[in-house]
Amino acid sequence: MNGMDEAQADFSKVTRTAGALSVVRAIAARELRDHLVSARFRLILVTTLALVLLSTLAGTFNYRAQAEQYETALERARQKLREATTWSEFQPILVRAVAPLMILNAGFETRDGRVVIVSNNQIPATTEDAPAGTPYLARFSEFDVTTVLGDMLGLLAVLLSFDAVSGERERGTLALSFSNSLARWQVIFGKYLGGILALALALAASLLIALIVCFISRVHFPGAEWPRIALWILAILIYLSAMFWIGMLISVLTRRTSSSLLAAMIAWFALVIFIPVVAAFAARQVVRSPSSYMLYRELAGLNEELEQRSADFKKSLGAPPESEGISISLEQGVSMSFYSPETYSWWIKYYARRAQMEREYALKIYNRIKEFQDRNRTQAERAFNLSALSPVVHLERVADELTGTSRDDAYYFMDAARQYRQSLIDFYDANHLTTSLRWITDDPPGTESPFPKETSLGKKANTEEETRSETELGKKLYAQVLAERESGKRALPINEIPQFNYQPQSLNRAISKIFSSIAALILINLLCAAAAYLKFRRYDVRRKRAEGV
Amino acid sequence: MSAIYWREIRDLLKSARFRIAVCLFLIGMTVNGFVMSSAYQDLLRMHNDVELSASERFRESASHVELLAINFNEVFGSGGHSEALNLSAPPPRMLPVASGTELGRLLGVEYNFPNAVQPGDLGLSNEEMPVRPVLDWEFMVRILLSFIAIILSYDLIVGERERGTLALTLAYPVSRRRVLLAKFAAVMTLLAWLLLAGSILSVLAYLTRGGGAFSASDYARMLLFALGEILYLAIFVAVSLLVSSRASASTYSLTALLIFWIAVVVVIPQGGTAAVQGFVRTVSDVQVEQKIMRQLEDQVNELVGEMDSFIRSDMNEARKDDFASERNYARRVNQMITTIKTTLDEQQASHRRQARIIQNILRLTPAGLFQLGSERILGVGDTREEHFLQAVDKWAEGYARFVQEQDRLDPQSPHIFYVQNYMSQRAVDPATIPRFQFEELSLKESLKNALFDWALLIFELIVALSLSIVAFERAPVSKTV
Repeated sequence: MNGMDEAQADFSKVTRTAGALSVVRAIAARELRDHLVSARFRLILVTTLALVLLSTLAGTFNYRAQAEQYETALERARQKLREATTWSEFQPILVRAVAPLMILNAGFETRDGRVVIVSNNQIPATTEDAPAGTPYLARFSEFDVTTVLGDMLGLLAVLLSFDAVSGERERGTLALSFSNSLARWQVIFGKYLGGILALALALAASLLIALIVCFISRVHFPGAEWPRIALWILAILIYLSAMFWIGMLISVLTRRTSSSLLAAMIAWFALVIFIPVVAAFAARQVVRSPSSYMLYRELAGLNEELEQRSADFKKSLGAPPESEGISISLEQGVSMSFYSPETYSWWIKYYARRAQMEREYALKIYNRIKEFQDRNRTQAERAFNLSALSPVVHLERVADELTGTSRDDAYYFMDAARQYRQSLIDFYDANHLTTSLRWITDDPPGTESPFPKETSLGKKANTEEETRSETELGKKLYAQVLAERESGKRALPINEIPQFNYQPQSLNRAISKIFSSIAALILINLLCAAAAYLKFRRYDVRRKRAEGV
Repeated sequence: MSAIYWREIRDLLKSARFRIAVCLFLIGMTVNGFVMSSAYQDLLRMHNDVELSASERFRESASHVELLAINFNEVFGSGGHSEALNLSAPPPRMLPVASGTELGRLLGVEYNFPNAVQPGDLGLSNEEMPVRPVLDWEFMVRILLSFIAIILSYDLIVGERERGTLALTLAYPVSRRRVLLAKFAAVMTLLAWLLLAGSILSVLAYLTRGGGAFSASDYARMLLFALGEILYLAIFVAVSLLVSSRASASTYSLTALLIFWIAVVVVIPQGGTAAVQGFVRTVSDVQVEQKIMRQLEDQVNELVGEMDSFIRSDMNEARKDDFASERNYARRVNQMITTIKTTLDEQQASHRRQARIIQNILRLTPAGLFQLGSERILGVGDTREEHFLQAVDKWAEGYARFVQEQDRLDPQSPHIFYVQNYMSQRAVDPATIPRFQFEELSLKESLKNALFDWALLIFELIVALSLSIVAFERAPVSKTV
């Protein structure tokens, strides 16, 4: 490429137009054109587009798998609710919806299950179901659109800027620019503008591919998500800008393009690949990981304690008073018993106390789990702080929050689940449900045994004839109960129960959390830009004859 | 030839990039040694905990033969304990060298008698952190040193050409091939020394901070691993020489090699994995659950329908017809247990299939070959996991046999496996209960597993070196202006 002639033509154009900003614009336009035709831009762009295609496809597959899991769990939850006949059986299942933007940024979306059970005897702290996914693939870090754009376009940014200054100096065109009384800031800013525009075009092309893939896969983003997508794009641009300035700074600090490229490559490798891994690894030393097995044993121990105390309390109540009626074995797993009111009040006393103990132990178990999770969170924070120099890590965090796939989003849901449980507990207490008959049976109070008094529990049926008629009567009664349940006559008053209304984290809340990372990225931008400009002011633009051929 | 060799070494030693490389690598290896020693201790402690609680469980259960079976039976939640028995393998001694699947995951299972096993979740993994590769030796070599190899050798030819000294070098009475090989050897020597220094540093840090001691066969493995490292890095140096001979400017050489590195080390492995993940489906946990429920439902209905399959509370009654209905019941329950096991095995098989496909895609690049070969030669990774699961299966069979034999010794027992109250109530000497012992893969087995990958690496190296020799034979000597 004949840089000299084109440079001449541009400079004469530049001297003809007036105004400092139009100078900048002209320089930017030239830079943009140069970038777009360069081999490195095209090569990396093509690679990026191919990877974006693959990762978006992978994203849509994962999204569909997650959505399937969600639908199944939701259906199961509704089913279980319909089946509950007593208040103690009433354990609403809450299912966390899938974040649609997980296609663009996997984040922590697939690291957890989706199902949380709310009940008297446990405080929601972890999900009931396991995350969907294979253990064999755990060795690979996430390969999503954000990662691809961060790594590849970040590389492109550095490759576009590493020889912005040192390359022109080598070719001799830099000296030529300044023979036309251009201010240094105009040159640097013009180059920046040109570079950023080229990167923006590359980004736009990538996003177009991603959108096409989503469209073909028939995945649509709801309207409410588009502000988030816009901010996500903005964050990527800020990140690319930071990478560009890093490359520019390197360009100003090195004399020859070969050393610029080397330094740029080492910088890219260190910032994008090496630092995050070393930081995450070193954080394990700073904050030692808690053992999940120990937690498992502690929780098992607490559960055993609960059962032991419960059994002790039962013993202390003495034996349940003899009940009248009969206990018939109808079929495997179904037996019918009729209790006297005295027996019922015995059982109610037991279950009321047990419900209290369950809450006590739910709190203890929750605190243990929380301790465990807090340790891990501290370790994660350390890892993040240790890698604060890496723009990629900041981009990751920002992308996670904006797309609603961060760890905090899962915690937010868990928090809401806990609050819902508390409202349920309050509802139970306000209506004295744990001390009511409906806690343990859906038979209306005062249901009498239809069997003659002679055949009471403890006395065996005397003849085969009697056994058969008893069983027949029992089966008829059971069928009646089932019919009543089916028709809804025995249904729990579900409408009176507080509903779970969940809204995921608002965008404002997400933004307030990523504030520091955005600030860090902008800071990197400003620092590198300032340093580059200051160095450039005293930059010797002449190409010395002795250097190279 | 040796003049060229020594000159190259001297130049590289003085260069800034080599010094930066040394710093990065040695820092990484030291961090590796420190952190891995803590991880090893934590994992070992966890393994000891698991073994201890297993011993306790066996001791408790030894009071009844029946408890040895029932206590671990979770099909219908019968029996005292609903907590499964955990079995684990100790952390691999090669932990700092290659951590296999993920650091902090102890190999373990939850054992539900008589034979259904499920992978347990024993580990130090942190769900709050983004997933990052582990900083083991294998990572350092595969990612960092390959990058360094490119950085050191990208301008071996084209740099000389740009400086104008290539003509001078070729003026020596040495064939072009020898010149190339001398340069190749120079870079490899430096890399080998760097590897040695880093490994020693890491081992020192690891051992002094309390990491697991290495046996003689472990050092042998490390040596074989080092061989793989050299092969792998040599491929990169050879390719660099190839590109360096043909490039017109050193910046083009570096850029081209960079793209090669990204493709071979990052894109193909990760992109391939993502593609396989998307296109090759495995059986999900939800599907397994649904399938098991469906099949069990049918079987339970059959059981309920049969009037003569149930447990009588009065054993003497049952004895009158030789426990006929109890036997039917046991038969049906065992059927269900087999159903569960078969379904879980199918799921495992589908996961393994997907993993095999991913491994074959990894074999497309030297990085993947190196990763797979390293894990196999070191006896970690999926070969270790499969070996462990096989050992568990074998132990499970032996344990079931033991329980049945102990029961057979009791003439009073109805011998209905595995129904509560219908097995021997005699006590068993806890010392006789077969315990699970895990033996690591032998060196010979590991070698056999790694042979294919290592062979491919050697092949690729020969090809790369030959191509670079050919390219250099035809390379221009002076830079065309």
